[in-house]
Order: sequence, then C-alpha cells, then structure tokens
Amino acid sequence: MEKDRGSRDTEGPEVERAGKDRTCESVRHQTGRRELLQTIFMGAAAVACATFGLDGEARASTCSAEANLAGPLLAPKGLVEGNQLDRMRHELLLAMKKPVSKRKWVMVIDQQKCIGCRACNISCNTENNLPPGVVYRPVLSQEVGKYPNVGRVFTPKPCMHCDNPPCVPVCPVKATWKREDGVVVIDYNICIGCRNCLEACPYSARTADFGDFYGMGTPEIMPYETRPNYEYSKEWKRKPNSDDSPVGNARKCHFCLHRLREGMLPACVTTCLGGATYFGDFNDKNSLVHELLGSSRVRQLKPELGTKPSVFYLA
Amino acid sequence: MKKSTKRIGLVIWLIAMAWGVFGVSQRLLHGELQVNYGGYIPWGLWVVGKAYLIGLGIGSSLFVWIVYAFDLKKYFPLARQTLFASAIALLMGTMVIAFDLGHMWRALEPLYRPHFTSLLAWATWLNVLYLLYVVLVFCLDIASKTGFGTRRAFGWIGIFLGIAFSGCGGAEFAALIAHPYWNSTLGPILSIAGDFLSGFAMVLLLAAFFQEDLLGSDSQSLSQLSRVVLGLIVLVVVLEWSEYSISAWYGVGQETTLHNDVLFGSSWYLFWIGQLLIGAIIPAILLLRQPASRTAAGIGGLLVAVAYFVARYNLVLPGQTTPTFAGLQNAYTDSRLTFAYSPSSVEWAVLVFWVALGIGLFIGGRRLAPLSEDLHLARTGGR
Ligand code: SF4
Ligand code: SF4
Repeated sequence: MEKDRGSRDTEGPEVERAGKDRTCESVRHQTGRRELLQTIFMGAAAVACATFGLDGEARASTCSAEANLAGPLLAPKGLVEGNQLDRMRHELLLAMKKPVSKRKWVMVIDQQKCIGCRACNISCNTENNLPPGVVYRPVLSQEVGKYPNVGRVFTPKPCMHCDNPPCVPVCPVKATWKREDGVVVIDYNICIGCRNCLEACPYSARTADFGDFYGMGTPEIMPYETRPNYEYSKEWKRKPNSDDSPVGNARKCHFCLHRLREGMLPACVTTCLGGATYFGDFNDKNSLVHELLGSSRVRQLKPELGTKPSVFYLA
Repeated sequence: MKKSTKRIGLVIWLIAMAWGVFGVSQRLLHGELQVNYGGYIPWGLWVVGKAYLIGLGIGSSLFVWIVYAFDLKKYFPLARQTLFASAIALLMGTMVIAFDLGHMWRALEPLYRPHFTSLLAWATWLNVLYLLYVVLVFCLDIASKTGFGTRRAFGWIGIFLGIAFSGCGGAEFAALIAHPYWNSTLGPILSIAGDFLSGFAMVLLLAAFFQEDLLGSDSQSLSQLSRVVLGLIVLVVVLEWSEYSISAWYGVGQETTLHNDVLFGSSWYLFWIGQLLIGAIIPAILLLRQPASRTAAGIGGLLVAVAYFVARYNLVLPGQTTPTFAGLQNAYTDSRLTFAYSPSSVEWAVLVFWVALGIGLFIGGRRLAPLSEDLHLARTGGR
C-alpha cells in the first residue's frame, strides 16, 4: 500500500504539469480527427470569449479547461478523485489496525469544492435507509453578496461529533455517548425518545424517527422501505405501525461506523461528486485530513460555543 | 352550584372524554404518526401540557407546605383538598409526558438507569419522589396521623423538594445552549415564580368554589389569599419585564429577535391577550376588590390558573421556531423538518383526555374521599 501511495505521489505532479503546459496554441497544432474536433471546439470557445467579452483571465481558464478535454487522463490532480479516495481508504485500513482509543476520526469538507449536488445526502439516506423526517446530512445552500456580485456557499452538515458534545450529558438514560475514537453514538435499545438531545444540539444534527414511511397513505409500502439498515453493525428493521427501534429514537450521523468496520469510507465521502469530503484519522500525522487541517482556510461551525466539533470546513 | 350548570358541565366533560379517548387510542395504535412536532421542533403541545400541569401540582402543594411549615392554622382546612388536587395534577402531567416519549414503555428507564448529568434524569426522579411525597402526606392527613409537630417537618421537607423540582423544571430549558430564548439564568427563577403563581391561583379557585364552608365563614382568609396571588402576579410580570426589556433595550442580539417575535409576531395575541390581559390584568382587577367576593376571587384564580397555560406555551414553542442555521429549513424538504408548528388534533385530544380525567378524578374524589374536615379541629391542628 505504501508503494501505491508513492506511485500516486509521483504521478500527481506530472499530471498537473502536463495540464498546465497545454495552451490553446499547442492544441491547435495537433492533428488527427480528435484534434480537429477539438480545434473546432476551441474555436467556438474563442469566439464565445470574444463575443461575450470575457476578461483575459477568464478567457485563459476557459481555454486551458478545454485543452484538458483532449486527454481525460491528463486532468489536473484535484479532479482525479480516485487518488484521494484511495489514499483515504488506505489510511482507514491503517487506522483500523490500531486500538479504538488510538484513532481520532475527523471529517473535512472543502466548501470551495462542494457543488451542492447533494449526492452525499442521498447516499447517506440510502446507506442508512432513512425514513421521512430523518436526515443525517442536509446540505445548506446560502446565497452570498448582492446582485450582480453574488455567489452560493454550500454547507453539508452532518453531526459534528463534538469533542465536548452538549447532546451527551442531557440524555437521562446514557443512551448516547462519545466513543474513544471520537464518534458520538446512540444506543437505540436504550433511548427512550425524549428528544432532549435534539434540543441540546446547537447544530440541529439530530432528528427523530416518528415511524413514518414514504409509502404511507398509498396502496403499498414498497419493500425498499422495509429493508433493514445496518447502523452500528446491527440489523435494524423498521415495520409500519410498530414502535420497535429505531422508530421512536433520536437518530443522527455516526460516521458510518458499520462501513468503517468493513474497511469502507463513510458513504458520503465515497459519493461526493466534487471530491469535497475528506475523512480520516487525525492521530495519523501523515493522513490527508491531518494535512488539510494545516490549511489557513480551516474553520468550524459555531466555535464560540466550545463544542469542539470534529467536522472541519475549508472555507 | 345550580343543577343546570352541573348538567352542562357534565355534558362538556363527557364530550371532552370521548374526544380524549379517541386521541389516546390513536396514540396507542399508531404511535407518533399523527403528531405535528418533528425533528426541528421536537417538543410540542405535550411538553407544554406537562410543564403546565406539573407546575400547577408543584405550586399548589407549595401552598400546603408553607401553611404547614409556618403553622398558618386558618388555612389548614384547605390542605387536604389542595394536596388531592396537587397529586392529580402531578399524575396527569406525568402521564402527558409519558405519551410524548418516542418509547413510552421505556418511561421508567431514567429511574433505574439514571444519568445524573442530565437535568431530565433529575426531573424524573424528583417527579416520582414528589408525587409519592404528596400522596404520602395526603394519606397521613386523611388517616389523621399528622400531628402538629410532624406537619411542620413535612412542610419544610415539602418546600425544599418543591422548589428543587420546580427549579429543575426551569433549568431543563435554561441549560440548553442551543436555544438562546431558553438559555437564560432567569429561567429557573421564572419557573419557580410561575409555578407558585399558577398553583396558588388554583388554590384560590378551589377555595372559592369548592370550599364554601371555610371562606363563607372567614372572608379575611379569602382576601389574604387573593392578595398573595396578586403579589405573585406582580412578581411574575416584573420578572417577565426584566427578561424582555433587557434584550429590547439596545435592540440587537438574537434574543431581541426572538422576543420581538413573541411580542409582535404572528402569535402576538398569545402574549398580549392570553398572558397579559387574561392572565394578569383582569385577574389583578378582580383580586384588588376588598373585601374579596367569593365569585371575583374564584374567577380571578381561574383566569390566572388557565392563562398560565399560554405562558407555558410561549415558553416552550418560540424557543424552537428559529432555525439554528440560516436556510436550514430549505436544506431538506420534509414536513417534519420545518420550523412551523401547530398541534395536531390528536395532540390536543390526548392533552384534553388527561386534563378531563384529572378534573373527573378531582370531582369524583371529593365525593368519595373525606376532603373537607372539621373546620375547628383542622385549625387547631388537633385531630
Ligand atoms: S453535532 Fe450535535 S449531535 Fe453531533 S455531537 Fe455535536 S451536539 Fe451532539
Ligand atoms: S432522545 Fe434518546 S438519546 Fe436523546 S436524550 Fe432522549 S433518551 Fe437520550
């Protein structure tokens, strides 16, 4: 695995360089059918640049982006998500070999890369077979600026797995606690459904399962709604008109502990289209997340509350 | 009471019970499917109902504890009836909150698996202890075992337990940093003052309408009780004023927005008409009458006791209606993930069931249990 990492590391910069070296000019001098098509495309782009009056910088980036279409393998490093996923998967396996108390799971979300597609939200819903009313990872979308200078910021918002979680001490039956690896979990078989933890969470990261099904009120509840989920590596089967757990419980993101146990990254990480979600062991100083958390772009949600979230954002 | 009035009352009670039975059956058969609270407004009408009924129970029993502790003999005849009403209110409040739990059959778990960092665990323990304590003193009282000296001790223990329980109820909300509307040091104090007010108002109501022998023969006691309730109204209004005015003074900060919403938002009438006019101004005018008339005092007590439900509603709900993040309500579309709430008919029906059952138990119990005692003996403390 170490070898894998080494080979990727040497491949990465080369890929980047090749991408940068390509210019509109060099593309035009290439021959062959593919190049011809590309030349036509580039011509159209150049006309568009001129017609719509893009400034120099914008035009240059358009041109270089188009140039990269010539060879998908030569795309800039940041766009090749396989690499970062491989690396995180590899680091995950290393971390899982350590005792639980020696790992510290953290998530890093790059807001510059998040495109607001909500793929993470959907994959989370599917992975955990979430019913109506329960969401683990909504994606906030916020417009910033004033017309004509506007932008949009996306904030995927899972449970922050706070190091000082306000949701834990309020539970009257100790049904929720923070594990040694930093994951805040809920024992569905103990939780009484008082929803005190929902009220205590400043991030609205917890929701409750009220026993709803999407198919309620229709002729049939589809089998996909009653198939079990495997949260906390147990089989949980929801049935209509039954209050068997997890119905009646508080529910929230658990960093896909059941997947981690099998050596898989959380579902939201593997499905992130923008490659914006990173996950790993912060105790591993060589890990990608450790590297990312050295950035000056790092921020947390509501840090003033002193909850010490384990989910970080790159603004 | 006139026969026709009684008959109308009975018809209303039967309708309320029938509706309530429907609501309870829906809750038992379909769980929480028919409730309107959700993931972002997790506490709804039943939490309001619990806070209200338990507050009535604590406040009214505190009256008895004070009477016992300070040996206020002229109010001794009110004790037995008040303890009975208090126990019923506490029991009904407990049942309402059990129905609010996602797993109502696990309601007793905090008793044998308590997590004492949680104020809710403390509240559950205090709830059970307090209810048992009230029932115990009531039973001892009926069995005429509480001699004068013991009464005093029971009174002091009761005051301690009652204030602890009441403060704990307020702290449950006040300690939640996620909600700036609740997260106030004044919370537990307001809760204690509010419980005193609603409980004492209930005592006044019961004394005026159900204990004619006492107050018929002693209008001074009624006047004094009216004045105490009046004083409590003023205290609660002053506390509310300090809570609202501090945040409003400079007009900035999150609390200001939340308070403005209560005062001038779409449900403004709850505060101005429910809490202030019906719950404070009109009763204050009625209670100012000296010497107190039984009807005026009774209606004054009734208005305060009933309107305090609105105060509880205005405590529980507005604390949850502001999203913790801008745009959270639009991040995921789901009817349970919104910041708007109005109770469903099943929620109302369940609450009405427990309230109506409580009223039924009280009226039925008055006939069966020896709630009125010999005035002279009660006053002298000798049995
Ligand atoms: S985000 Fe909320 S639910 Fe998650 S650990 Fe922090 S306080 Fe608890
Ligand atoms: S809802 Fe469950 S996990 Fe949350 S505080 Fe209540 S018992 Fe604990």
